[in-house]
Amino acid sequence: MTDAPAASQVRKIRMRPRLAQLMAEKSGGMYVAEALKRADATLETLREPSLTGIDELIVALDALLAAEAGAEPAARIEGLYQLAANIVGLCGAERNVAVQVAARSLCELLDEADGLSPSILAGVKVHIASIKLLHRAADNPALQGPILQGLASVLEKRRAESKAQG
Amino acid sequence: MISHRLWSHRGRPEHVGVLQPSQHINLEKARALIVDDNHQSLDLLVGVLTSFGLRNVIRKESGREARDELEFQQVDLILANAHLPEIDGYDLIRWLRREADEASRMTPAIIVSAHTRRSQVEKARDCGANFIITKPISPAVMLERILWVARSDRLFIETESYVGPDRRWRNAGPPIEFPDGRRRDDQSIELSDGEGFNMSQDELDMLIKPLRSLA
Repeated sequence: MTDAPAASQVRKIRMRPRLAQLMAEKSGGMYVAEALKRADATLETLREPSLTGIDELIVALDALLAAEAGAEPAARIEGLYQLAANIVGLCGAERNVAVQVAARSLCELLDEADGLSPSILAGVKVHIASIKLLHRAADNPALQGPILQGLASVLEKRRAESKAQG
Repeated sequence: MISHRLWSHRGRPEHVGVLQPSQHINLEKARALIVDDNHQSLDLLVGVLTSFGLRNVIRKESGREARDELEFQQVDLILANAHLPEIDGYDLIRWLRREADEASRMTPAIIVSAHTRRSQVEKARDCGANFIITKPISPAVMLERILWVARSDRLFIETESYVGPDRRWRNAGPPIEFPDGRRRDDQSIELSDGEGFNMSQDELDMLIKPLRSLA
C-alpha cells in the first residue's frame, strides 16, 4: 500500500497592485472618453504603416511558399504561421474584418498541419490569394462572405481528412 | 455609459465593452514593460498606452531582454506578446510569478496573442497572466482590462502547479467597483412577470433529487 500524497499547500494573498494606487491619483490623468479618443487618433496615424506592413507580410508569404521544395517543411510551416499571425496583429487597420478572419484561418490550418502535403499547400495558397483580395478592400459583406465561407470549407475539409487518417 | 467601437470597422460599429466616459484614470506615474518581437505591433501597443497617458514605457523585443529588465527594474504593468523568440510570453510570466523578485511577482501581466496554438492552450491557462487579449488590439478592450487588473480585488494564488491571479474569480461575482455591479455578458437585469402556476414544494424537491435508475 502506498502512502497518500501530501495535500498540496495553497497560499492565498490579497492583491492590491501599486498600479491601483497610482491610477487613483487625482492630480493629472484624464477621463476614459478622452483616453479612447486619443487612442483612436493615434491608431489612425498608424493605419497606413500597418497596411504597408501587411503588404510586406503578403510578399513574404508568397516568397516562403515559393521556397524550394527541399527546404525543411517544419521550418516553412513555422515561418508561414508567424507571417499569418503578424497579419492578424496588424489587420485592425483594415476597413473590413474579413482579413482578420482569413489570416486567423490560415493560422489554424498551419497549426494543425503535420507536414506540407499537397492538400495543405493548396489550402495555404487559397488563403493567401483570399487575403490579397480582401486586403485594403472596403467593407462589403456580400463580396467577402463567399470568400470566407470558402476558407471555412477548406479548413473543414482538411480536418475531416486528418480525422479519417486517424 | 458609452460603448466603444473597434478601430477597424467604422462603417459597422462593433460594441466591445462598456466603459464609463466620466471615469478618471491616471497612468502618468505608472511604468509599463511592453514586449513584442514585431516592431509594428510594438508601436501599436505603445501608441495605445501612451494615448491613455502612460509616460514611462520600456520597450523590449524578446522574452530574454524583458526578463533581464525585470530582474533589476520593478514595473507596474507588463504587456507581452505570446510569441517571442527564445523565451515566449507565457514562459516570461511563469518565470515572473515563480522566480522573480518578491516585489515583482504579483505585477499585473497581460498577454496579447494573435492566435493560440492548440498545443499551447494549457500553457496559456497556467502561466499566471491576469488576462489574455486577442490581437488586433482594441483600445476599449485594452483600457477595460487595465482597469480590471488595477482595481480588481482578486486573490493571488500560490500552489505547486499554479502561481498567479485566482482563475476562479468569475465565480466570485462581479468586481465590487465595476459600474452597476454587472458585466456586459451577465443576463439582463430585467425580469419578466412570472407565468403559469407556482410549483408545489414536492415538485421543486423532485427537480433537485438525484434520479434513480429504473434498471
